[in-house]
Formats: sequence, C-alpha cells, structure tokens
Amino acid sequence: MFSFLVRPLRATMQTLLSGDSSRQLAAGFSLGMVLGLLPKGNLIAMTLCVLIFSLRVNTGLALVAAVLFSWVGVLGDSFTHQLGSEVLHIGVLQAGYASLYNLPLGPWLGFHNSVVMGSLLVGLYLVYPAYWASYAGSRWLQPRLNGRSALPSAVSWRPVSAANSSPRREAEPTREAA
Amino acid sequence: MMADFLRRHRVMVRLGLLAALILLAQWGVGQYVKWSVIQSAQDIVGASVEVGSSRVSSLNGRFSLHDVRVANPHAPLRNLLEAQDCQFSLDPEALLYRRAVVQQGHVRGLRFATPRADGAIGDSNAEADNGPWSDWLSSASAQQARLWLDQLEDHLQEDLSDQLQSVRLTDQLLAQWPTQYDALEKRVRLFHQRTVELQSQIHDAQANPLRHVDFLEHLPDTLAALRSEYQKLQLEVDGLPDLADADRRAIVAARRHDEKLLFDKLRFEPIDDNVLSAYLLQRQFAGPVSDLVGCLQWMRQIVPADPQSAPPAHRRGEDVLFAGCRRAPQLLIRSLDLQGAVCCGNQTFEFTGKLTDYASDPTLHDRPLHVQLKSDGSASLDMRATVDRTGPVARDELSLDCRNIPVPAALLGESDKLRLSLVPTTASLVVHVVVAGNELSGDLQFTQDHAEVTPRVGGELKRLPIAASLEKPLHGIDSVKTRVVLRGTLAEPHWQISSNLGPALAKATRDAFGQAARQHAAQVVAKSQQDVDERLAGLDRQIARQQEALKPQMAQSTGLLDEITQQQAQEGRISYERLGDRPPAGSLFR
Repeated sequence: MFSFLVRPLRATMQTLLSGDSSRQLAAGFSLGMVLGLLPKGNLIAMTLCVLIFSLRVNTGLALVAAVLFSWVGVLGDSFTHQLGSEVLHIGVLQAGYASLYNLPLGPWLGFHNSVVMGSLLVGLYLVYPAYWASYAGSRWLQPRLNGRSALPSAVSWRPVSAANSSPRREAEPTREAA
Repeated sequence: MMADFLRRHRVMVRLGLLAALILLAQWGVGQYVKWSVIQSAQDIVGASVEVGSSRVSSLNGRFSLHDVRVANPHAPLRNLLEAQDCQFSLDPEALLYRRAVVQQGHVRGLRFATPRADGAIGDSNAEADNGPWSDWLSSASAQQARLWLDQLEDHLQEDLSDQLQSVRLTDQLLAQWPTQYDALEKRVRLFHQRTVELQSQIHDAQANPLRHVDFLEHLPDTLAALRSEYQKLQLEVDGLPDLADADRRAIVAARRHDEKLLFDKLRFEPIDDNVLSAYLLQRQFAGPVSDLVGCLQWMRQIVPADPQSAPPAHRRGEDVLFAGCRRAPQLLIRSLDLQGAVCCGNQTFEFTGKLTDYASDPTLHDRPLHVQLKSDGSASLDMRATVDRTGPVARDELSLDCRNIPVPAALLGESDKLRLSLVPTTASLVVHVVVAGNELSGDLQFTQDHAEVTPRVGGELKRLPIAASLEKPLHGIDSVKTRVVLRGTLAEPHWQISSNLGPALAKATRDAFGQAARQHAAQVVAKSQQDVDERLAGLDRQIARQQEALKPQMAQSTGLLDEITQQQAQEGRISYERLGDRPPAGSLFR
C-alpha cells in the first residue's frame, strides 16, 4: 500500500532527477530558488529565467524550486522589505544606485524595489548552501531512486552509450567508464 | 553537396523559427498592451473597460486600440465613453526607462454616455441610472412653492361663511326667537286666564259680599296691578319688531367685522422670487447641474487632488527614490487629438479637440492637463477644461460655451395648479466652474431668447379669473435668463437657482391673486349678506304673524279688564261705612 502511494512521487522524482549530473541538479535548484524568491516582472527575474533555460542546469528542478520558493518569498516579504530598504538607503551607495537606475533599462531591473533587493540578497546569500545541500541530496537520492548503490561523488550514475555521448556527457565520465 | 543542403536546411529552419518567434512576440506584445490598458483604465475609472482589438507596431513605436468602451461606474446601463479608433505614438527612449510617453495620438469616434449593449457588466454595487450625485439637489424651495400653492387653493376652497360673525348672530337670533316667543305667548295666555278668573271671583263676591270683604277691599289694587301688567305685555308685544331691529343692527355691525376677517383670511403671503424660480426651473436644471457636478467629481476621481489618496497599486514592497533621481509619471500623453460627438442640451455636437499633458501622476508633471473641444456649425460649442496639480492646491476649471442650442417646448413647474409653458426656442449656455482644493464655485447661465411664456392654471385656482391677469405681465418677457450658482464642496455641493421668470411670476401672481382674493372676499360677503337678509326677512314675517296671533288674546284680556272696571265704576265701592246704612227697600236685610 505504501509503495503504491509512493510510486507516483518516486516516478516524478526520477523524471526530475534523472538525466543530469548532481552538479547540474544542484545548480538548477539554486537558480530556481533565487528566481522563486524574487518578485517577478523585472529584468533580474527575467535574466534568471533566461539563465535557467540557457545554462546546463536541470530546468525541471529549477522550475519546481522556483514555484516552491515563490510561496516562501511571499511569506518572507516583510523581512525582505526591511532588508531591502536598509540596503537601498545606505548613503554611500546612493550615487551608484542612481547611476544604475538612470541607465537605459535601469528601472526595468527593479532593484530599486525593497522586496526585490531584499529577496535578491537573501537568494544570493542562500545560493551556496542551497547548492551544496541539493548537491548532497541529489547524490544521495539518485542511486536510491534508481535502486542502485551510491556512486563516487564525481561520477554520474547514468550509463551513456557511445552513440549518444556528447561533449557535455563526456565531461563527466560514466559509471561504466569509471 | 549533402552537407551544403543540410546547412541550408538548418538555416532555413532557424530563420523560420525566428520569424515565428517575432510574430509571436508581436501578437504577445499586442495582447500585453491590451491587458495593461484595460487594467490601468479599470483601476482609474473603477468600472469595466473593454477593448475590441489592439495592434502594436514595434518598429515605429506605435500601438492602436479599437472599439474601446469604458462603463460608467454609476450607471451600469451606460458607457462613460467609447471610442472607435485610438492611435498612439510612443517615445521609444522613454520605454527604456519604464515609462510610456505618448508623443502624439488621436482618438476618433469618441462618444459619451452611450447605452451599453450588455447592461450587466458593471460594478455590482453600481447605483441607479440617475446616479448618487443627485442626492445633494435639495428640493426645499420647490416644496415651499408647492405648499404655497396648496395653501392658496385651500384658502379659496375653505367655506368661510361659518366663520362670519353676522351669520353666527343670525343663527343665534333665529335659534332664540322661538323660545322668546313661547315665553311671551305663555305670559299672555296666563294673563288672560287670570283676567277670566278675576271676573269669576268678582261675580262670586258680588253674590256674597260679606264673605269676600277682603277680596272686594283689594279688588281695585288687583285691577290696577292687572292693568299695569297688561300694559307691560302690550308694550312687549308691540315692541317685537323693535327687538328684531336691534338684532339687525348688531348683525350689520358684525358685517363690517366679517369683511375685514375675509380680507385678512384671503390675503396670501407673498412668496420669494427665488423660491418661485426654483419651483419653475429646478426640475429642468437638476439633471444638467447634477451631470456637471458629476463630471467634476469624475475628474477628481480620474486625477485625484492628493495622489496619496489614490488607492495604492497592488505590488510588493516599495520603490525607493535614490538621491539625484527625479520621479516621473509612468504614463504621459503629451498630445492627443480628439474627434467625436457630445450631447449637450438635447443637441449633438460633432467636435474636434485636443488633450495635452495627461499624466498618470500629474503632481510629477510640470504642466497642467488641458482639454479643449470645439464644434462649429449652426450650434457651436467651446469647452475648455484644466486640471492643474502643479501648485500646492489642486485646481480644476471647466468652461463651457454653447450657442444656438435648440430647446424644445417645455412646461415649467411641478404642480398642476400653476405652470408656465415655453414655446420651442434657441438658447445659449455658459458654464464656468472652478474647484480649488475641495471648494466648489462657479455658475451656469442659460438664456432662452424669444421665449413666449404662457401661464397655465389648474385645480381650484382655475375657477379664479386670474389667467388674464397672469398672462399680461408674463407676455412681456422676451428672454428667459436662468442662473445657477454652485458653491460648497465637491462632497457637499450646494446650488441656488435664480431667473427673471421668478420675479415676473411673483409679481403677476401677487397682482392676480390679490385681485382675485378681493373679488372672492366681496362675493363671499355679498352672498352671506344676502343669506342673512333673507333669513331676517323670514324672521320679520314670522314675528308679524306671531304678533298678530297674540293680539286677539290681548284684546280679550283688555276687554275683560275694561268690563270689570266699568262694572266696578257703576256699582260703586262697598265700604265699611255703607255696611251699617239702611238697606234699600225690598232688601233682604232689614
């Protein structure tokens, strides 16, 4: 019964986590988290979105993280607003802010908004811990989801055939190759 | 060869994808602009906004909207405005700074207050078609005039004969006369009865004088008393007509009092000229004045006096203005040509105009918003509106000048008792209203030239001969000039209406109703006098009849008294001295 209930979740996780290396998964999760924390409708969020789709990161996990952290971001608005206000009102940075704001597309960045600035700072602060946590988590989870034993940290679990191998795949040696 | 083909094929696919992406972006931007316009307009107006279609030309920075309809938040069945075609030319540089600056644009097919095809789209709490703005239109003056007319009619309908003193005295006289007559008649009857009894007693005493010594002794006194009483009765019977004369004199005296009472009763209170003006014209002007104030209130809703009073947009956090940065409005329309039609005073004007310097936040713009509409034709219109938020006090100004507006025939006045009819004519309308802060001031002047004013009297007043008296002074009015003064605040506006019709009608009614009241009073007095005279004449006849009826009884009584007196005089007096004398021969006593 338990396995019947867990099976869809396991399948989903397999879909999300399979196919990419642990670093790509971790990078995708981190970028998605930052995107989720940020209010949308500004160039920073759009840039992050473009990065997620452009870089070699796990897009699915990034989008899931973005959705999840969007709710977290809304809940933390009061804190991010205070943090952003404090940072935006630092006197010595006013000239820099102003020159950035007065550049073309400057207002589109949205950094002059207290919540955007606060969320961006929180996101940047959490990016490194999130990366390593998700990296460790994916390394621990991937073999179990596939029913196999843990692999060496720098090795992807997924077998890659010689025909499908790409420079990207080749950069990370497969288990068979190892 | 194969490699070249594959390379070309790949390039074509990519070019196709790029073209599809551009087309998609074009369509997406158009939809985004349409959605943005709808959302922004709904936030500003507070009602449903519909846009039929939109098109964006990214290359030359233009976008257009078609079939734009903005619902009236206070009238779900009407549009506030609708426009067939709107073209806007954007400043591309401003877009880089997240601002929409319309350098030049035009709106064609602009219409106001058009009916909505689907009346259901509107705010759920929208009010009736006449809107909430008419609540402040006080009808106290018109109510006062209606009361005045009602009182006038009541006075004329009132039966005043009951209150006349002469009538009351006549009633009293007629009521007490039968009692007086009954008492007199009873006394006459008793007197006659006593006379008959006295005669009988004398007979008895003469038959046996010794037994009636005392009676005989007092008989002369008794006779004298009876004679005296008879004379009194005779005087009263003879004086019956004199008694009626005294009452008639009292009644005549009361008539003078009655005339004064009637004139006092029928003297109606003069009514204030402005009250009559309000009575005649308030209903005609309530709608336009309400629309005018509603327009000013709407202008304040669109462009709030205090930007902080505007509802804040739903967004997270707050935007920080850095030192050295200048805040600018998100939307700025530098120039917008307008073309459409507006309905003013039952006349549709095709207009052209220009709107300049509209800013989403006008306090951030250094020039006030100007709107100018102009219409040339048989009926001309010139409208100018200024919304100034550049100074410390928000100032809105609206000027309107309409000439040669055709005005249909109208029936002025809210009561059937007194109305004025106006023939179709042309009119001019001049409006100048200023809202400084929240203070409202200004006026509206409406002039109808070559107006023919005819009074119409109804109800009980129709019985009075006042139509001719009213017509004469009112026919002298060549143009009807009405002025509405607005003051107070936008939230609690007050208005006062004045017109040359009010004083003219007040004077006409004063003269006509005064004359009619005097005639009516004279008629009532004459009628009551005639009635009193007839009743007094009837009383006189009754008195004469009753006097005649008493006379035989009195004559019988006096006849008996004379007979007794004569007998006593023939027989002489039987004294004590004579009681011892020798009786006559043949007498029983010897």
